[in-house]
Amino acid sequence: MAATSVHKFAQCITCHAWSPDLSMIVLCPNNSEVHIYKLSEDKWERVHVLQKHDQIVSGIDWSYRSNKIVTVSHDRNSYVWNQEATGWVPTLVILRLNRAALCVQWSPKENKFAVGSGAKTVCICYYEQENNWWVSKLIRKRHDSSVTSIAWHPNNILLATTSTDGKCRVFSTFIKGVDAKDSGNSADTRFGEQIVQLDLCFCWAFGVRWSPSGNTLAYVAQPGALSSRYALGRGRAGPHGSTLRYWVLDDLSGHNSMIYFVDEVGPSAAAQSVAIRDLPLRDVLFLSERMVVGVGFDCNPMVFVADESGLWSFLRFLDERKAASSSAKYGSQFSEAFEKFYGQSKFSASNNVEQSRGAHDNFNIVQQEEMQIERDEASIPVEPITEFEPLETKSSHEQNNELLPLEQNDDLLMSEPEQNNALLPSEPDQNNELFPSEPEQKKELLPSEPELKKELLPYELAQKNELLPFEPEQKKELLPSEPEQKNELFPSEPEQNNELLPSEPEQKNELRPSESEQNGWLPSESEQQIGSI
Amino acid sequence: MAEIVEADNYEAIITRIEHKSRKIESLLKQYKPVEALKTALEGSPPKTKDERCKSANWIVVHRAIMAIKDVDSLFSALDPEYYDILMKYLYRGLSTGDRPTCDQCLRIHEKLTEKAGLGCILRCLADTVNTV
Repeated sequence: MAATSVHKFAQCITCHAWSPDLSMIVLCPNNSEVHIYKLSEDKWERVHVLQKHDQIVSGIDWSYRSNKIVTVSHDRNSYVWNQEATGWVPTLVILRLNRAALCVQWSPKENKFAVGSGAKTVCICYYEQENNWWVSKLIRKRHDSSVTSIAWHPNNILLATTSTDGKCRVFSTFIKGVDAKDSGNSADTRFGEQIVQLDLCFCWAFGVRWSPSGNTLAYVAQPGALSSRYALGRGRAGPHGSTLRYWVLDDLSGHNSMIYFVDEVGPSAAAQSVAIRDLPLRDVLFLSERMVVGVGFDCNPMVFVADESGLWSFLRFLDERKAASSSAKYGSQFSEAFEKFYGQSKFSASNNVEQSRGAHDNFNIVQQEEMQIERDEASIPVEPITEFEPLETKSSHEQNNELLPLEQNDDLLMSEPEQNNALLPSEPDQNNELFPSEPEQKKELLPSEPELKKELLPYELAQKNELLPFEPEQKKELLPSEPEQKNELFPSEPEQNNELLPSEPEQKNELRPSESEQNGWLPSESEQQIGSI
Repeated sequence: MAEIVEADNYEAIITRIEHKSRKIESLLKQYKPVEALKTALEGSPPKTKDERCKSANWIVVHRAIMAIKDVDSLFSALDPEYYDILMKYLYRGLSTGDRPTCDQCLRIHEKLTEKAGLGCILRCLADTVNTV
């Protein structure tokens, strides 16, 4: 499906949120300002500019019922904006952070909001009547690195976080006097208590989301190792005495092109990871219990669905695929990439460059726009304004039926059948390639103990190496199949390899978090650039 | 105690690789290079930190990779579950700098990238734990 409309609000958008009725959008145009746009007569008009922050605004959320906007910024401050007759009036939030705030989200009941920060802490903020400001309680010393995203469980108590330490955690945020005692049986957990820690990837984790019911959790991880996936132990009692299940979408927010799902499976919780054919994801969104959309570095949203048995798999891209085949493809990709870099380094990017990128590169709000609208199934106030013509693709209609077994979900994704058909130009073969492999993966996942055991290995192995210094030579001689030439070749390799391969990724992993600490975290311009490549 | 188990594991892994090696030789004699490659990739020890095991398995995989003549027919017979691990070994092959090895690895790499996509390369490069 091509983007229904593309509208360029700014050169770069760091974050955005929709108004409750979807008629307005609030966004940060990559500076310290917050702009509110309103849709009137098929045109987006800027109606307010909120100026209070000193640095880039990194997170915005608009509460559905109370119509409040909360913003957080790299300047370590946060404001709650109330709409009054004179305009939007800010209320100070006492965050007590010494690093940048990175993300924010209202709790479902909107009496609290959570702020993730580069200070390895999460602030749970609530309103204090007597002082007329918002105060925060901090969850400290639980994260080993910056908190990249947060998500509230529907029960208003549990909060899931992802961090650049590669872990996804769930905390209780029960605050006396703010939360009623009877809100679920999780009320007996104390504030800041860690309920679950998911250690599924060795890379930055992003984009954590709960499914609508709160039974399933998804997140993605940035480039790292997909490696250790293992079944989870059972979590603490969930909302209704059930155990929590999590699906981890590894690289559902990972740079390793994996998506992890963790599901509430009762006695035997299982994590599932889905390897993605293409570039890693950066964020995810649940459309329903069984359907997830992930967005990432392919600049093309991916749809994942769970079948009856809860097995997640890649369904298709939401946008049309760049049509290209085999050899010609790579050449054009290079020049395209080159063009992108060129276009970005020169900030005065001309319209030509923009167009050649395709709709999603320069503006990815569109995707979410669609999702939100479709999810709400409300009458759609947002009428497409086409600056660029949606690209047309030809494809056969027969394929469509085969490809979309989940008829009931169709209406979620798209309204017009014709677009639907145009959606699937190159999918069939991909699907065929992808699907067969997934069942296997799951099988690998299920046995939990072996995985855990492997986790233990590295340390012991290191010791073992010292203990057995003489073996290597003998062993190599033993291998019967090796021609002499090769023996000459190979003895040198292991060393090369050891030095070369493992060290690079590690450096990467270690370097980035520490840099980011110095800088107060998330140099958001560069992040954005990476994101749009 | 855990160490003893580990030691056994090393021996077990090496023994298994030797066994694989013999099997591969016989498969190659029967002109079944794809089967040989599958056998070589199966049960490779990516999680172990022991370089002896990794090298031993690489030698076996290398033998099988070099025996591949027709890359197209390789991928018509190779199941997707092998893609990720094969990619890792291709990069190991490329890191040797040996001309014929690199030639062969590049040939396969091209086709594999077509089949398995960029995600496969990313997983291979980004994975610091399961190395080959």
